[in-house]
Amino acid sequence: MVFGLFSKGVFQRAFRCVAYSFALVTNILAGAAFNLCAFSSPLAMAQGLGVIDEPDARAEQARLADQIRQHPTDYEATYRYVLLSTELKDYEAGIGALERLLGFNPTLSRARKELGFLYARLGAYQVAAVHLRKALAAGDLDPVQVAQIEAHLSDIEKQNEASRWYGHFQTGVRSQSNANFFPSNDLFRVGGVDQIGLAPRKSDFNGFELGEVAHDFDFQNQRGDIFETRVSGYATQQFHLSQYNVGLLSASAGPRLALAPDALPGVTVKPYVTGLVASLGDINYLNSGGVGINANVPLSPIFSVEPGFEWRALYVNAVGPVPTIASLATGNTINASLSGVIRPVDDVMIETGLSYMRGDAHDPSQSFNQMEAQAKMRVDFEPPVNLIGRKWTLAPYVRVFQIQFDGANFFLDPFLARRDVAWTTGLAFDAPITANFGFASAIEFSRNGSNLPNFNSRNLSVLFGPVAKF
Amino acid sequence: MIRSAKLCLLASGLALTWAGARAESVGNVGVVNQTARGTPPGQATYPLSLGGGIENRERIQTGSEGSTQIVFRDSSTIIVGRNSSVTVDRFVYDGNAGAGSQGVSLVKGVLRFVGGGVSHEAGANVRIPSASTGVRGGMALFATKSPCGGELVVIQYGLARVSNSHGSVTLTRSGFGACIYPDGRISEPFLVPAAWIEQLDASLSSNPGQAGGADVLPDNAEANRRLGQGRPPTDIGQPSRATGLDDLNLIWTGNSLVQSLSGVKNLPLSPPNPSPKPTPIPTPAPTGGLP
Repeated sequence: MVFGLFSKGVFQRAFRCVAYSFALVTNILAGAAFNLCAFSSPLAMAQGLGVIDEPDARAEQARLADQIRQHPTDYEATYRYVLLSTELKDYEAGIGALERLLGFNPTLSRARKELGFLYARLGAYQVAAVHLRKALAAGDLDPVQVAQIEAHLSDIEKQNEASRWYGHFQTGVRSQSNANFFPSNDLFRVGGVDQIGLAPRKSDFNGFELGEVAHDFDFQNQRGDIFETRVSGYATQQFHLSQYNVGLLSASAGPRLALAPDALPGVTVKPYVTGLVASLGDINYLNSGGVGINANVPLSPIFSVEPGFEWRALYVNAVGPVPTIASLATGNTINASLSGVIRPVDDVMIETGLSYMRGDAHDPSQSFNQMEAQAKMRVDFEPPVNLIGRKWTLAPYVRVFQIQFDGANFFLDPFLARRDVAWTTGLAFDAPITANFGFASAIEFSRNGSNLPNFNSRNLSVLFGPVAKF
Repeated sequence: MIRSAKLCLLASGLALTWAGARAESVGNVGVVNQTARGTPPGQATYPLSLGGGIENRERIQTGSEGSTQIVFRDSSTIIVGRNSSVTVDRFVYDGNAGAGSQGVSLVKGVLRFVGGGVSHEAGANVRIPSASTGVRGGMALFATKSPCGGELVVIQYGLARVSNSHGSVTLTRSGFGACIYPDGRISEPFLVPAAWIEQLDASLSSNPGQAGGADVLPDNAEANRRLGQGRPPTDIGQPSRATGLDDLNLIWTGNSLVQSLSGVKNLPLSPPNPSPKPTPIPTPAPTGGLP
C-alpha cells in the first residue's frame, strides 16, 4: 500500500508502544484541561458555542460540517464551524471552510487573515505569509485586525528565511527582601556550635538586564535540520550590596537534527556545546563548559517530551578564608533531565521538568546529588485594549529541589553533611504592547531549608521592566 | 414547440432525479465558478451547481474562467483550478469508525487537496498523469504543468509520498515539492519558490467579480461580528521558542551564585561582640555522630 512506510518497522512499533503509554496519561490530563478551559475560551464564549467538552464539540463540528456541505452559503454556520474547528485544532477543516468563503468573495480580507493564521499554525509559513500580506494590503481591515497581523507577520515571514535572528531584552528594577541570603533565624553553625550572626539580613534593590540573542540557521533541507546558537546574559547592579552584582553570560550551539522525518515526524535530536562565564562583584567567580544532547519527541499533537543529558566542567574561584563552605566548587557535573510540554488548548501550556544532577568536587563536602522538579503553567489571555495585537500571559510556576552533599564540612559541622530542600514559587507576567515592545514582571518567593542553619533562608523578590524583542 | 421543450425538460429532470437517487453522493459542490461541469459515470455532462452532489467516478472539468471546490463527507476538500480535469476515483467513508478510502485523479490543470477524516487515518491517494501520491494528513498542491518543467507536487502540511515506476520520494516538510520530469524521473525534494506557490494559488482562486455561485456574498462586517476579536496564539510564528522556563533559569543561576558566595561571606569568623552577649544555642545531636 501507499503508506507502507508509515506502518512498518520495529523501531516505529516500539515508539508507538511508548507513545500509547504516555497517551493514556496525556488524554487524562488533556481531557481535564480541555474541559476546564473550554468554559473560559474567549472564542467559544464570545460566539456562544456552549462547548463544555471535547465529545460534544466534535459532535457539533460534525453537525456543522454536514450543514455547510449541503448549504455552502450558510455563512453563520460556516463561521461557527471555523471557530470550533480552530478550538479543536482541526485546522485543515477551518482552512477548507475559509477558502470556500474566499471562493465566494475573494476580497473578504477578514477570512483571508484567519486563513493566513491557520496556515501558520500548521507550519505552512509560505502560504500563511502570502495570505496575511494580501489581507493587510487590501486596506479594508479594521485597526484591531491590522494590529494582530502586524504583531505576528514578521515572525511568520522569518520562518521562510534560512538565517533567522531572534532577540529579547529586558531591563528594569528588582527588589529582594534578603539580597545577601542571610539565614532566616540569624544563626550560623561553626565547628558544630550555633551562634548568632554579626551582619544583619539586608534587603536591596538592583537594576538588571536580561536578554537572549538566538540564531537559527535553517539548512533548508526537507528534514528541517537547523543549527541553533543561543547567547543569553543576565546582569545586576545592586544598589547597596555591590559584592553581589551578578554578571552572567551563557552560550550554546548545536544542530537540531530530525531523526526520521517520515517515520517519526517532529522527533529531533540536538547535540550541543555550552559554556558559561559568571562574575560576582568585581571577580570572575564561575566558568563552566560542557557538552550535552537532548531530544524533542512529540507524543501527540498536544504533548511532547524532551529528555536530555549534559556534562559540564566547572571552575569556581575560591573566595574567602573558608572557600569550602561555598556550595559551588571546581569539579564537574552531569545532569539528566526529562521535561514535558502539554498544550491542551491554545491559551494554556503546562511545562514540567524533572532532573537529576551529580556534582563532583575535590572536597566531599562540595560533592552532591541533586533532584529537581519544575512546573510552569502559561495562561494566555486577551489584553484589555483591542489595538494590542498579541495576547498577554500569566505564568504561575514552582520549583523544588533537594540537594544532598556527600560529606560533612569540618569547619561548619564535622558530623553532619549538609542537606537542603529548597522551593521557589512565583508568578510571571508578560504584557506585549506592540510587535517589538512590552513589559514584563515577576514576583517570586523562595525558601531554602537546610539541616545547617547557615543555609536556611527566605527571599521575596519582585522585578519589573520594559521588554524589547525582534 | 414550447410544449415539446417543457416535456424535454421534465424528462431531463426525471432522469437526473433518478440518477441522483441511484448513486450515493460522496461530496458536494462548495464553490463553483463557471464554466465547471460534472460528468457522472454513464451520464451526461451537466453544469455544476452550488451544493449539488458529486458521486464516485465523476469527472469534473473547468474552463478558462472556471474553478470549483468539492467538499467530501469527511470534510476533506479539493479545489480544482482553471482549465483542469479531475476524476473522483473513489470515496468511501464511515464517519463512526473514522475509516475509509479516497482517491482522486488530476488529469490536467491544478488541484489543491485539503485532508479530512480519511487522509488522517488511512491516507488519501491523488494521481497525476506520471505519478501517484499518497497524502497523509494533510494538504498538498498538484499541477500537471509547472515552472519546474514537469508535473509538480507540493506538500503544505503532513506527509506525501510521490511514486511511479522510476522511484519514489517522500515529502515531509511544508513548502517542499517534487518535480516529475517528462521522462518520468522524480526529482529530489526541493524548497518550492514562493512565487510558484502564488502562481498556482492564483489559478485556484476566484477572480475578481466571480462569486463562486453565491447569490449573497459574505462581507467583512459579518465576518468580524461572527469571528470576534480573538488573537492568534502568542507563539504562532516562533514554533521552537515557546517555552518560558529558560528566562527564569538565568535568574535562578544568578541566585545560586550569590547564595554560594554569601554562604562564605556571611559567616561570622571573628568572635562575637561581648556586648550584647550572644546566647549559645544548643546544637542538636548529629545523627549517628559523637556528642
